[in-house]
Amino acid sequence: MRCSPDRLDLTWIALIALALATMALAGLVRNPVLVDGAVLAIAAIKGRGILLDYLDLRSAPALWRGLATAWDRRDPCSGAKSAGRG
Amino acid sequence: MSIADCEGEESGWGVLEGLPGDPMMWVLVFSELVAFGLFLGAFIVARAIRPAVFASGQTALDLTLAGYNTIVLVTSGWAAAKGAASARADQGRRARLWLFLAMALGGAFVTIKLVEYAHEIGGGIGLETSVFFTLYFLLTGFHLLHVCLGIVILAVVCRRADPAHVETGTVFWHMVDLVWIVMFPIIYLVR
Repeated sequence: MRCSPDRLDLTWIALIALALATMALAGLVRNPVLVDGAVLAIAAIKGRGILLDYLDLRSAPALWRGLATAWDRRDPCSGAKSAGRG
Repeated sequence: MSIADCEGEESGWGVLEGLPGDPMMWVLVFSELVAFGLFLGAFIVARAIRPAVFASGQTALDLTLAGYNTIVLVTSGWAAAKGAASARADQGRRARLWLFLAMALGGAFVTIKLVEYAHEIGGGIGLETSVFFTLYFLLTGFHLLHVCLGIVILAVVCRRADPAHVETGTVFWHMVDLVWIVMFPIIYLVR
């Protein structure tokens, strides 16, 4: 099943809202570890939106969906760990 | 077994079949994702070793311009996806317009990034300022080259607006988009 234009519009609006939320979060100085975690979680959600709707992997074999989303999540998770140490 | 049977077998892409666009583009996309993954991994390890250098380097970056670039690239990806949807619906003219918008926004991303580089270089920052800036310029520069290549690919597939070609070209564009979405918080935001 192809991603419908309406769904593309909704994904775009969600991605813009998440990008603005990221910018707002970046300005917060309290509890940096929590802010970093939230920023990285938002990045993972945005990446998932791009993969499933823009790249149209929603209808692709599960193997590729899994591999691509694993790449999207791997680096942010590593980043969170290093931020926690730093 | 006839020659036609052999050709039929050779054209099979196995596990790559079922993905949108040309399977060869996916081979390129996955190799690019591995390259960017290694680069980002190196950045994360270097930050874990020298957190103070990275923290001071981050404060010199222009977060606002990078934020604008995120919005520009996400919108460009949306335009490219709409272009692919229009091409699949045999709306060639409409597909071309969406792809032009995607390319124009790609051009805006390049311009904003170059302005950001100019501010940094004007402020005395260079490749050898610190390990943070070496990795920053390498990572963002490598990504910027991919944005430029993506614009060229979109321009090529835009000419005929063939659905299969447009789909293949936009796969590369979304990969560039995805890499920025992951790269932006790691380089600019995570302290």
